[in-house]
Amino acid sequence: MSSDMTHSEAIDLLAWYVTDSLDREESAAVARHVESCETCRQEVRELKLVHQSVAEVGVEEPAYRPALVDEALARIDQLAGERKRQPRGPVVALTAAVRALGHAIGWDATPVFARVALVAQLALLIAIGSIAMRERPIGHEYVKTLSGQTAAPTGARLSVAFRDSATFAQVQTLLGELDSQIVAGPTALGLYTIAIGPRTNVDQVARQLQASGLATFVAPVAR
Amino acid sequence: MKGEDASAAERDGQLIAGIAAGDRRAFRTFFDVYGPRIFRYAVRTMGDAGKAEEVTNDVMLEVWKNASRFEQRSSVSTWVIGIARHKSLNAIRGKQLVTVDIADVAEQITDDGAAAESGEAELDQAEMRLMLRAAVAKLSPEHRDVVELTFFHGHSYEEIAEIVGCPENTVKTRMFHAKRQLKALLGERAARAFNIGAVA
Repeated sequence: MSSDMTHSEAIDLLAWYVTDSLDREESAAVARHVESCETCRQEVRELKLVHQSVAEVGVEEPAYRPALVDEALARIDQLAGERKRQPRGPVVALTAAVRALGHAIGWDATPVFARVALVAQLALLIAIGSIAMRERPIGHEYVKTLSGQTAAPTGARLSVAFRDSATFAQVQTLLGELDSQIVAGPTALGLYTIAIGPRTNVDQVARQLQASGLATFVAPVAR
Repeated sequence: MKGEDASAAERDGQLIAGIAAGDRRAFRTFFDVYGPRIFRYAVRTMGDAGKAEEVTNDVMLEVWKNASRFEQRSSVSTWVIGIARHKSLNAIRGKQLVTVDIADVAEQITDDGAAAESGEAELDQAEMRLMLRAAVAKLSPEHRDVVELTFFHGHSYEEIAEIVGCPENTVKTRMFHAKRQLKALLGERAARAFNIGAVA
């Protein structure tokens, strides 16, 4: 503020001039103006009285109770006790554990760009892992002829095509229930050869395969 | 507070650091320094001692919980009075503020023996201060806020702008209107009493 303060600038600051809360430069400029301005001098007198009136605590006003601090500390203790007693849910516990781990490995001190890079790498690894772990559809399974390696059922055989959505595990489970197993396939047309157990009815297996919703084509293999 | 000396700021900084570390003695000292100011602010804003005590405790609890997050961008007094203002206004939201009727105060003073003896024109300073306090209580909340924060709490206009959340020029304008309202409320008697103040 310049040293030649105008009347309107000075009168706007008088309240804070009276309470001594202006900075040194402003206060000096106001003081210089007040010296030469009767209106401002009168205003200063009035404001000093307002200051005294507002600053003093009137007898009619309720008194401050110093015991308030004890009440506040008791409340703090109570809140701390409640927090201790509160059972920690699994999410809270997990969050705390992750935070503790992060602190232990110095995550807090790692720069933001490095954190982003690490998180991106972790996300990529998880994505690759989940793709690798996902159940594979039956179409991706190549079954070698088991003859000569294990004792394949010697009964009737079926030529079966499975839906693309059917997984290898689903097919294996179903065939196990039907006392059957894949002995060859898939062919270029996606057909598997299923060997039926000697004591199992081939027509019944064919019907159950069709009814399962996993097979799209079932036909007996001529022997 | 702008008028606060460096030692007060240093003391406040140390107290806040102590509170952040869970030091109860630091909290007690802080309460001794700021408790009365917060209580006075709240009681004058709400006109209810019970509620003012609740607000004081709430503010102090907030200080206890958030001391570690205080970044010293403003002074400690600006910070705590800002919290007190927010909590007081929340507590009275939708309720009629308690105000003192200036006419009742004037009547009470006239009835008083000493005042009657000296005559209406010769209100002494103590009586004038009583009337002024009543007149301040009649101001609108925005104007009263600026008057209280200036004259009772000693805040600069920059700090008040920060506490209230308005431009500095608005603070000056509110003070201008507050002074005009006070003069209107006090009327003829005030003009004469102010002249008594000039003598003192």
